Amino acid sequence: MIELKNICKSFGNKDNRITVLDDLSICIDKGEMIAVMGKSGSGKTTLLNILAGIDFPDSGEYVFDGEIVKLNNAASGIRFRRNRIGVIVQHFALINDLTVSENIEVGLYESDYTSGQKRKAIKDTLKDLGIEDLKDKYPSKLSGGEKQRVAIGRAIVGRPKLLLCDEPTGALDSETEKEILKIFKRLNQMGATIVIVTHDKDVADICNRTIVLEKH
Amino acid sequence: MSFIVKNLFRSATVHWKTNLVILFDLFLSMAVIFILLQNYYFLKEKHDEFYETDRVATVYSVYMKIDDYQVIKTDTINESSMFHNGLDMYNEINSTSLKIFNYAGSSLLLDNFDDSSKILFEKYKTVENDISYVDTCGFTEYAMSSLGLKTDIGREFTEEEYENFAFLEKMPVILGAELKQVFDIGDEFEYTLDGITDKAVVIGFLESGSDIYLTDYRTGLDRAIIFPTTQLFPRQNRYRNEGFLDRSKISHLNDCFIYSPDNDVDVQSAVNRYTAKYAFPGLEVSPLNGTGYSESKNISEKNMILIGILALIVTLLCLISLIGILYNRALKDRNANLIFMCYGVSLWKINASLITEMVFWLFISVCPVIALSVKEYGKMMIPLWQLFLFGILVIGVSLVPTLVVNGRSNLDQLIRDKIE
Repeated sequence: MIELKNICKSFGNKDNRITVLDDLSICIDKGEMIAVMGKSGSGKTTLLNILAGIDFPDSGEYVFDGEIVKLNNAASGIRFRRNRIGVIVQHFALINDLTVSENIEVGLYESDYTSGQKRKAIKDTLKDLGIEDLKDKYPSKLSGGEKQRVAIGRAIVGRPKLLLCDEPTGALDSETEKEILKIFKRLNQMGATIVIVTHDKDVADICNRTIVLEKH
Repeated sequence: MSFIVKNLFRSATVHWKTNLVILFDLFLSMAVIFILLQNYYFLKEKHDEFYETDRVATVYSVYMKIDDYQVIKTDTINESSMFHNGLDMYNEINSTSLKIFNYAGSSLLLDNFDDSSKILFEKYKTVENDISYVDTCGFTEYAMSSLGLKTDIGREFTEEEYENFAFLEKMPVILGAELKQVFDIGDEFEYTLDGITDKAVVIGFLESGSDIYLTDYRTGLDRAIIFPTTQLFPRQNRYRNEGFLDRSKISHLNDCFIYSPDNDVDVQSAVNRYTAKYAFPGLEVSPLNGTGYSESKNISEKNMILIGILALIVTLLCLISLIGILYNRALKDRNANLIFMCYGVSLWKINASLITEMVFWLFISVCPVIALSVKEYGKMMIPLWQLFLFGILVIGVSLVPTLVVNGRSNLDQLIRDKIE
C-alpha cells in the first residue's frame, strides 16, 4: 500500500546541515499496524510528516496506493491528505470551542458525504468509541482518555486509508493507555492501516511490526 | 461552502467580544466616511443663477436632492432631528431682519375657470384680444414685501392666510392690475389648477407694473392671480393636516430665497452662523444680482477639509484597532486552522471564511448609517457602492497581517505541539 524508496531528508543550511532520514526505504502493506521507534531526533516525526504530506523528502520516492506522490507545497499536501489520511497526535489537538460531535465532524469537512451520511458516520463513530454520552460536551470537560478517543474519532470518521499516530498514548496514564491501545487493535482488525510513532514498548508490542530509526 | 458557513458561525460565537469591537470599529469608519461623502455631495450642489434684484440671495439645498413633494408629504420626516433643527433654523432666521421666502409661478388657462368667470373673461377679451390664460404665482410669507410687491386696492395676505390657507373655505387671492376689469374685491370664482378644483375670493389688486423674476426672466404680474402658497395640494383633503406648514417651511430650505433689508449684513456669514449652530452642512449663498455677497467665504469647502482630516484620522485609528484585533484573533485561531488544514481544508477556504465574516460585519455596520440617512432624509443620501468600496478597502488593509499569519501556519507545529 505504501512504499518509501531511498528517502532522504535533512534540515538546516549548507554550513549547519542535519540529515534526519538517509536513504530510508520502507514498505507498509494494507491492514498492517506498524510501530516506529527510535531516539529523540532520529526522524520519527519527520517520517510521519512525510507520510502525511506535511513535509516533503529531499530525494526518494513516495508511493501511496500504487501512485507516486509528488508534493511540493502545503496546498498539494492538503489535497493529498484529504479523505486519505487521519492524524492523531499526543496532545489530542482538539478545538476547544467545538463540542465532541463537532470535533469529530471536522474529519468530514472535506468529505463527499451528504448531511445524512455525515450524521450517521458521526453517530457510528461515537458508538464505536463508547463516547456517545459525551457528544455535546466540550473538550475542557473531558479526561485525557476521552479527549484521545475524540481525536481518534475525528481521524477515523471519514474512513481514511491510513491512520498516522504520533505518540498517541504519551499523555495518558497506563490504564487509559491500555484502553486506547485496544481501540487501535480493534481498528486494525477491522482493516485499518496504522502507523504509530512511539517510545513505548507496550505500544510496539501490539503492532505487527516495529521499525527502529537510528539517529545520524 | 459548508466549511465557510460552519467556520463563520463558530467565529461569530467564539469571538463575540472581539466581533463587537470589530463591529464598532467598522461602524465608526463607515459613519465618518458617510459624513465625508455626504458633505462632498452637498458641496457639489451649487446654485449658479443670478438675478438683478438687490438684497435678495438664494440659499440652496439644505435638504439635498429631496424634492419638495417628498419633504412635504412624508410624515415620517417629522420625526427626524434634522427636521426639527431645520425648522428651528428657519424660524430663528425669520425672527431676525433676514427673511426666508419662496415663490413659484405657472399659468392658468381660461378653460379652467367656472362658466361665470369665463363669461367675464370673454368680455375682457374685447379689451385685450389675446387673452387665453392668466399667470399664476404663489408666494410664501415675506415674499411680497421682500420683492417689493404692494397692493393698491384691497389688502395683502394676512399671516393667518399664509399659515392656514389649507383650512380656509375659499382660497384668498390677489389679482394683477389688469384683472380689475374682470373682478372686484370680494368676487368669488372657481378654477381648476394642478388637478384641484377650488373656490377663490379676491382680496386685493397689485399695483400696476408689478413684476418678478421667474426662472431667468422678468415676468409682469398685471395679469396674474397670486396665491398665499407655492403648493396648492394641501387644499386637498388627503394632504390637509396640521403638520403641513412645518414641512412646507422645511421644503423652502431646499431651494429658497433669503432677504436682507440691510446692505451691511453679510448674508453668507449670517447663514454660516445658523448652519453651524444647527449642525447643517455649509450652504452657499448666491446674491441675486451677482455682487456683494459673492465675496463672502463659503464654509462648505473648509468643512470638507476638516471633515476629510477627521475621516482620515478616525479611519486610521479604526484600521490600527482592526489590524490588532484581527491579528490577535488569528494567533488564537491558529490551532483550529492547523487542525482544519490537517483534515484537508485548504488555506484559501480558511481565508475565504475570514473575509466572508468581515464582509458580513461590514454589511451589519453599514445598516445604522443607512437607517440614520433614511430617517433624516427619507432616502440614502450617497451611493451605497461608494460606502462599501471604502469599507472593503478598510477590511482589505486590516486583513493583510492576518492573512500573512495564516499563510505562515505550519502543520509541523501542530504535530510537534509547538504552537506558541
